[in-house]
Amino acid sequence: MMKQYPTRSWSLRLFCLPLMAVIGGSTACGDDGLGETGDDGLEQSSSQDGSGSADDDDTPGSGSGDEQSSEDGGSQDDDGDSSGGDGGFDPCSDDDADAPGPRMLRRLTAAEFEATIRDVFELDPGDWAGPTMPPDPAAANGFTNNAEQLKATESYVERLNATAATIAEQVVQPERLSELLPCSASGGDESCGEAYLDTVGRRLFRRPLSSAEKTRYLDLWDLATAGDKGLAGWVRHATIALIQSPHTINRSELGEGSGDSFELTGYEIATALAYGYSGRPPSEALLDRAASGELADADVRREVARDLVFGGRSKPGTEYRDVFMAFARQYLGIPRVGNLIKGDPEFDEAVRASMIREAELVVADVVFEGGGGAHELLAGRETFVDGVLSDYYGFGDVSGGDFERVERPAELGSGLMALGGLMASTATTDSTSPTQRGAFVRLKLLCSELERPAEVPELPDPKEFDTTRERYEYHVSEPECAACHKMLDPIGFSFEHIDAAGRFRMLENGHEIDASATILATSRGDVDVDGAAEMSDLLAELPETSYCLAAYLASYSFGLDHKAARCLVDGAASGFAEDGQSMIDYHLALTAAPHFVRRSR
Amino acid sequence: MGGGPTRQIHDMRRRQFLGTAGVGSTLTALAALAPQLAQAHPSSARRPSSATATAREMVRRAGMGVRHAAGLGVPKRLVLIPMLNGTPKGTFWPEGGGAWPMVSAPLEPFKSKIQFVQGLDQFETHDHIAIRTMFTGAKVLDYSLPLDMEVASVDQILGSHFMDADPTRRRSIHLSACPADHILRYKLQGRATFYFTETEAVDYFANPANAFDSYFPKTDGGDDSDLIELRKRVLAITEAELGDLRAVLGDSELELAKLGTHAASIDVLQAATDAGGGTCDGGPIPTVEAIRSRIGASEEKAYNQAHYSDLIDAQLDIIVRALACGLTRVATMQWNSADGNVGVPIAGGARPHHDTSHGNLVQFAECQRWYAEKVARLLTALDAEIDPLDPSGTATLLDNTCVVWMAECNPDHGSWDIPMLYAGGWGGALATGSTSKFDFEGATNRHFLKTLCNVAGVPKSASAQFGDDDLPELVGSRA
Repeated sequence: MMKQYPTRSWSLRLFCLPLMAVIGGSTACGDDGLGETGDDGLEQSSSQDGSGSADDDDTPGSGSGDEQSSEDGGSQDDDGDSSGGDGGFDPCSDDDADAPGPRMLRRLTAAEFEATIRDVFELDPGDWAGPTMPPDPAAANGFTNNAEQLKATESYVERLNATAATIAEQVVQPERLSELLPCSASGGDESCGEAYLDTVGRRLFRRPLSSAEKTRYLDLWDLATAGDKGLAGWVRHATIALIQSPHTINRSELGEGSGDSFELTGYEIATALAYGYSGRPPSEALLDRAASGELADADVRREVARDLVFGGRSKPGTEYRDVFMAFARQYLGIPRVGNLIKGDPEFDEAVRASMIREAELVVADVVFEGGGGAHELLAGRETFVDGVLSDYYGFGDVSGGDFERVERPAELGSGLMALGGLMASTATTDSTSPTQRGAFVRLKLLCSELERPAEVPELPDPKEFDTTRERYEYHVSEPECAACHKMLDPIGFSFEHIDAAGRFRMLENGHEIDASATILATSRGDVDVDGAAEMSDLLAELPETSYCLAAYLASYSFGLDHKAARCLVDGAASGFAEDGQSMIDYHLALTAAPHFVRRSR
Repeated sequence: MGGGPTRQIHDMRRRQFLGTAGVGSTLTALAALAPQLAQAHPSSARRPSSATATAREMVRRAGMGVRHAAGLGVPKRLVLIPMLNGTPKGTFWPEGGGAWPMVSAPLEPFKSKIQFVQGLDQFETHDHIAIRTMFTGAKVLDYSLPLDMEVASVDQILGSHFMDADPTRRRSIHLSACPADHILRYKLQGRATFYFTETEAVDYFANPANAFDSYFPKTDGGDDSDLIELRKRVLAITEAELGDLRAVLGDSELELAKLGTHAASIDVLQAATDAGGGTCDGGPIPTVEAIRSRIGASEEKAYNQAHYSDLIDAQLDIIVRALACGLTRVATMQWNSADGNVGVPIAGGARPHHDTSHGNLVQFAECQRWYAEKVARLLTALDAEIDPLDPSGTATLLDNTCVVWMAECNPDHGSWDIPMLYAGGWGGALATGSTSKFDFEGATNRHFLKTLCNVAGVPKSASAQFGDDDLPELVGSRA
């Protein structure tokens, strides 16, 4: 039996062309760049991410929602059109809501690995330049910490091995070795080696090594210490083995138990807390708390997480800021602005760099300084510009290289959706793309599911139309395009006063811009808006926006696809969406989710 | 062997696509563009014998490939390069014996060593996602879905086959230049992945300096038997720990697969340890050092488009070094991503590649010509080296290599009649010097990939993913 939530756990489903479900891959209607620059967010259904296909019912986040979507996807909307979405929101079922997810090994990201090595061995960049493994692969939703994607591939293992050898070379330097292993000063026998495993090994594994595990390492002793190599010889090879160990490079979230339920160990919880809220491995002190068993208590976990975030200060510390900003950058896709090419010659390297910084400052100001949540992120009127952006945007009256807080003119919109970088990255080289902008909103802010049609006509030649809007409206008049585009393009039309290079325009080709639109299938039904500010205000008010943002942060926190993560945090997301919690409070609330301490088969 | 009836359906589909492309008006303008003379130099510019001697010495030091030198025949090599977004009509295929058209013109100096392969479709796949079809022959429906057939790309199949016959230190090497619009999009959604093992997309280097350091490491006492034994025992610890995890994991297929990947990776490392510490000690490569001086070891900075041309040059030079010294027999290049907008530095300023393919087709042809010049640069370098492993002592590396340049689709997104050629003929085992046109229904890239495998002697079972039929017209007189 389904729970009846009038306003909870949104997941708008849009089935653009129901008969073409899971076709994907081809461009959406036209050739506007939708889905082709890698940033449209138009994701293909994935059989691995816990959503979309019928054969993954045991994956969190799938199940009833998908079943319902099949029924709803083709229902009639106001136009009597049998496709294009009906505004149906799927609550999590009783079985799915706050149900724990799967047991997992989460390979450390490059940043987590580097932080681990620097912490454990006290190596600064002058001692060790950093890991040389391949970059972390991006998942479909743009996050590079998805557990499914992070694997110990051939290249990874080979370069991990080389990295480990480089680190070991540093570790065996006498001064560092004596600091890490005081018993080495007196020559060091096998018991000194065991002490190394009990300290350094424990930090790397984030748990004590078992006797059997220690024996494996100590079995290297005779050969490694032969001749004049001594303790340092053993430490060198033991260090290489420890660093490349699957217990070091993977965050274990396997738990202990039997049957269908597995309780995460205290050490696993400590590891999740430490990496999740500081990006670093658990400290000795946190490992001690793990050993005591106290982390099974949700209040203790929240207190630990709060301490990792704030460290006794009123504002978040640097480590947490780095964690959250890594999430924000990937969620918004902002870094890629640095490589955008536009027909507008003023969209130069300096502008692109400043746009990236503007986005970072806006997010940081709302989340860290203002303690804001979804509403503030989307409806905030203030931004930050330096002299470059002030000149480029034409407001702010700022000069020089320092960024200053300024009020953005209302016609340029609000919050995240007014960021020049975001607007530029959802456009083509020379033209805005209402479709890309609409797709960004639907996918990243409303968590709609869009499925790509197969073969559709290209957009007509822009020279044949006075404005971009006319061009897209003509195109959408074609039936095979209308189903999807009527859900996307109107959202994009509301942003038409912001051009392809991210700045305000009053006219397009000398013609008035019409930024009015009817946004279909929201939880408030079909809503009329006029311009970017009204569009952003609508987004800020819609509960589905908060639920969606909650799903993405949970996704990043848990290393799962956002669709898979959505129901794992149903209770916490409800608090975020319904009570207007801050981003940080919501993030802390994830520690109380069953998934944080328990796993299912 | 394929062949047979006309392909009315094939042609109809193609007409449908072209009919909506809106390219007609541009073709006239393209025809007016005179092809420029190529900058490349054919085999007449081979290096003097001292260079060959150097290469032989590198091979000797590497301790690799000696069995070929002992008379096991021509050492075949493979280089795969994607041609993204195809070419505007009338700019690629040579017609009527005249000068080669705009895009392919830079390759004309290698006319006798190039074979155009015309008429092939990407197997049951359309649009840019065919980047995953090009070299796997797989039917791909979706960027994010994994390949459902557990098929490896042809570089992996041939690499494994070549290694079985004549071990090299690496099965294959994989280079790239700005393979995504940011490092945060490494392998994103399959958009930036072209080459695959049976379980996942291969990793690739974006920074030539890191590639060089990884592929050509300094020797590190690898002959010390105690050291080798210790390395093996360290790896054995890792294997044992993987076994421990496997035991507690239960039946989670996804996690078991991850452990399997890790274990297989350890096996490869173990094999490399067994092979000893040989390297290709040819000294620094100037183009690599030049880029190193600007971006250091940063992989992230290697995604800066400002370095695009130089990144490509350095990566291609690494490929030549690796093939020449016997480090590997197989290399792949990955420039840009399927629908990426890396700025191509043509006259008048960099143009975003993908957007231009749907905009100004004259400029797009210039972009593709720019890439052809890069291919020509590679061919020039390969043709300037006498193959140190060839018993004849006269064949160049290019003669014994097959450099494949293939598009995933055309600017109209149709993956039919894709632009494609290969250069070098595996010592005469592959035909070169003409255009082969295949007009039978269902002629696809699979036929071509099967041909490569058959000519290389890959067992049928190892190339079954490409079907049963090949293209005999492409088989050379010395196959």
